[in-house]
Parts: sequence; C-alpha cells; structure tokens
Amino acid sequence: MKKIDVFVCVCAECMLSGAMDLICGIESLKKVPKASPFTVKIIPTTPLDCHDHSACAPVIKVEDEVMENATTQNVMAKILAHTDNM
Amino acid sequence: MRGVYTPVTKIRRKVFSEVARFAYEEKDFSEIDKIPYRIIPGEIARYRDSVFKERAIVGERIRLAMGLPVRSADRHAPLREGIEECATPETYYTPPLVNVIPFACEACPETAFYVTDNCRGCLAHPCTAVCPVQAVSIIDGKSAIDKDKCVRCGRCREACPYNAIVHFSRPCAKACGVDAIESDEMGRAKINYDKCVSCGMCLVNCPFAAIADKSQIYQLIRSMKEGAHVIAEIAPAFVGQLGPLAEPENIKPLLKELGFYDVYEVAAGADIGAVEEAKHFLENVPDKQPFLATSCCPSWASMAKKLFPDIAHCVSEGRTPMVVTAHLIKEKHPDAKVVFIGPCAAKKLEAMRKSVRSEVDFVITFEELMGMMAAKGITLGEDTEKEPFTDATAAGRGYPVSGGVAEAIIGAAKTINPGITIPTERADSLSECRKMLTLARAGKRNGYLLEGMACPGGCIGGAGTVLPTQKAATAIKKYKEQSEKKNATENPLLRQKDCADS
Repeated sequence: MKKIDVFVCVCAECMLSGAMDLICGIESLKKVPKASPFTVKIIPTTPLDCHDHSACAPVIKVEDEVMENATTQNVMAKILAHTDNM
Repeated sequence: MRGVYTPVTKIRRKVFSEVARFAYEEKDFSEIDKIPYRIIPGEIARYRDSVFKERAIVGERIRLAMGLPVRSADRHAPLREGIEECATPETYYTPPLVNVIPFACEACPETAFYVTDNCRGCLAHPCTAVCPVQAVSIIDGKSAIDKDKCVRCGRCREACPYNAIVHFSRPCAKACGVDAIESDEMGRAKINYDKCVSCGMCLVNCPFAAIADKSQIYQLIRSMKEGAHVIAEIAPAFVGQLGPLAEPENIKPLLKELGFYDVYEVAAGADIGAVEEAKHFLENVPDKQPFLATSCCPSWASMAKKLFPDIAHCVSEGRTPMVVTAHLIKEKHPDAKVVFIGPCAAKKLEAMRKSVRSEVDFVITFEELMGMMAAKGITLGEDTEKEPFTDATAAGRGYPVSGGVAEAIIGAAKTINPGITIPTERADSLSECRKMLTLARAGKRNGYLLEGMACPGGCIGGAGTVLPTQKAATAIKKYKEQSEKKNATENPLLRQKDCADS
C-alpha cells in the first residue's frame, strides 16, 4: 500500500486555527474510494516550518509541500491530487 | 456544524487571541479600535454585505470578550466605551452571559416546512391527503404549502416519496433545549433569560456568528500581570484539548509558563463529589426522596430547577467538582486567586453565585486558554517539562464523558455498600434531559440515579472546547486507563478530608 505523509502543525496558533478539524478532515478521506488504496499517515508536529504562525495558521505539509492558511477542503484536494501522481 | 472549522469558529477564536494580546501588551485603550481591522483586514467584505458591518460585529464580540455589555446598532459610541471600568484585575462582567448581537442576526424564519425542487408533482401527491388542515395543495403542477394554515405537524414531509418537503428551523433555536430563543419585533433571535440556562449551545450553532458569551480573559491576564498568585484548576475534559502532542503531564508546565502559579486537577474534586453523592444516594433514596439527580452540570441543574420545580429537591445539593477543588486550593493558598479552566460556558455563571464567588475568582474556557497561549506564543516543544497530576482517580477523570459521573458515583456506592444495585439513566443535551425528568416526575424513575449533561456527549461537547467530541472521548478513556487509582473512594484527599472533619 502506498503511503502519503501529512505533517500537521499543532502549535497554539494552528490549534486555534483548526488544526484538529484538519486532522479529522484528513482522516475522513479513508471513506473516499479514490484515497482508500493509500495510507495517509498524519504526523502531528510542532513547530512546522519554523516561523511565526500568527498570520499563516494552520500550517501543514503534504509530502514536501508546505501549505499555509490551510483549509480542510484544499488539504483534502491536495492529498487526492497526490494520489493521482502515485 | 460543530466539529467543522468554519469562518464562525475562526472569528470567535481570533477575538480571544487578540483580546489576550491586548491585555498582555498593556496597550493604550485606544488601541482596541484597531483590533477589528486585524481580524477583518482589507476593503472587501468576505462574510457579509459590507466590510464595515463585519467589523462592527467583530467589535461587539471584542466588547463581550472584555466583559462589556452588547450594544444595539442605534448607539453612537466608540468601541472603547466603558473599557476603563472593565480594565480591572477582578471579575467584571454581569449577567446576561450569553448575548445575541442584534445587527449580526440574519432573522432566520422560525420553524416552517418548505417544498423543494425535488417535488415531481406526482399523481399520488400523498402530501395533500395527510394534511389535517388542508394546507397543502397542488399549484401549477407542484405541491404548495399555505403557511398561514400550516400547523407544522410534518405529516406532508413524512408522506412525500421524493423527500421533497423539508423542515426548516433556526439553528440557534434547534440547539436550545429549553426553548429560550424567541424573536424580537424585527424577527431577530432574542434570548428569554427567564428560560436560558447559559449552556452556550446557541452560540456555537449560530451559522452567522450572531451570538457570543462574555469572557474574563482580559481581567485574568491583568490579575496575573499585577502579581497575583493565580492558581488554575483544570477540568477533567482537558485531555487532548491543547493538541495531540500535549500529554496530561505536559499541562502543568505549559500553564506555569503561561503565568499560572500552580495547577490543580478538578478531577480530584470530582472524586470527592462522587463519594458525597454516593453517600447521599445510599442514605436518602428511595426512603426520603424518590431518585437522585447529579449536580455537576450547572445548566442541567438550573434547567431542572426552572422547569421541574416540584422535583427540584431531588437534584443533588452536593458541591460541584469546580467548587470542591477551588475550596481545597483556597485552604492551602488563602491569598491566591483561583481560575477554573474548562469546556463550559455555564460555569461562568455558576462562579457568580454568592456561595461560589469566594471560591472561584475567574472562569475561562479551553478556547479562551488557547487564545492566551497563542497571544503569548507559548506552545508545546521538545523541551517542555513533564509534571504529572497525581491527585485524582480514573473515576473523577471520567466525569466529562456522558455516563462518567454516574459510573463514578456507582463505583463509590458499591465500595461503601457492596452488593447494591443502582438503576441509572443518563441524558446528554437539554432536550433529552427534559424527557428524562418528565418520566421521573411521572414516577417512572423511582430508585434511580439520573445523570444529566446539557452538552451532547457530556462536558467534552461543551461550547468552549477545541477538540472534536469523539477524539476527546478517546483521549479521556486512555488517560483513565493510565490512572493508578480507579475508584473515587481511593482518593487520598478523602482520607485527609475525613481526618479534618473528625
């Protein structure tokens, strides 16, 4: 099974900006048929891409790509786009 | 809507972090006028029809977060009006706690049934046949509901084979288990404070961010900055609320870094409360009272007293875990100030009661705590120290999950009186609690222990939480399993208390 690593920053700014809801959104991908052949490994981390997150939280990294001001919808879309390339 | 991060969540939390920053940086009061521009930047409206309105609404939310009263749109006054009075290191706000910002409310229609485009204008059209007041007819080949005739029974919706009829209700009113949401003369939501029990469910369910509660973060930070020894008592729902990497043993060091003098676990007070209620049950039910209802949820206890006054004496008069723990802290540190940190909006009101005021100085939620941490730039790191809590058992730590309170009380009762069987029933959400008490009033729950929780899922579903409910339940279960002592009666504080009492 192919694996996608997703790093989610859980610093105070990112937690306040919905990091846990992002994690729930990523976990919900298990139920999407397109993503089911892949293992999406969620790695909570802090700090991610070390700098002040007050203007860019939540911060997330899908494989090597850092996403700032991430939303559940654009993170899910990014992960699904990765599955196309694998 | 809960469990999904939306712009409503974002605005609410941004207000907390900005107000906390304002307090930490001790800026000139006039600087408060700039906060709405930081939360709603730019010239283009993103959430409503005008960026000015967006900022005006955020301004009222900032005032509420400072503990100030909400204003209507016809008041010409600067945002900072009254700020000098609230800039104090003491509790400032006064009821009402939960407020509708009138000009933010979109005046959603009250309960109604609508025919959607799914209607096929079918030959059978059972919707018309089942309506008891002839409110449904076929117009231009489609079903139509006469709103003046409709009695909102919902039979048409149940009968439609295409699910073409939908039930519409205001999200705030739907979330309110005590029917406290009414309408003003403009159709906007208005809270009937004779009914409201401040559970906060309306404020987290309004999709237009029109409802907010007052906060004490500003006054709390002022108090810490002025050198008071502020001791935090943290509710057992804390597990996981500060993030998946924040283990329970990291919480004390993190809060001390934030400026708290010391940190106590409210689960210790829950243990003591569970044993008190177990003894009360064994001594009084069913001979002196037909059943015992738990007391730790202030919204549930308040609802029971307001709507079921004839059986209100069956709600335990035992002190809540918040009060028990605060009392323990004040015995040890008489000059300290105590802040309760928890998931609950209603605890803010409980702390204002005359009997509680001397024990608990401030109440903030986990969301507000995260706002303080974000403002001060404090976050969990590799070098964060570990200092485990040692004062509570698994029973007390299980209180915030629906069923946990009853489990703790029964566990204690069985230790005191082995072999006893106590029938229990639990309800979470105020509407379910009402059903349970209706049965109890009818004599159908005699001999029972009734556990009521106002929030869905228990305290972990409270209005001031950060973590989705299911994740919180899992985290608490794990923490309970790791607890060395399991039964509330094993809590060493009880032995100390017994010694002191004798």
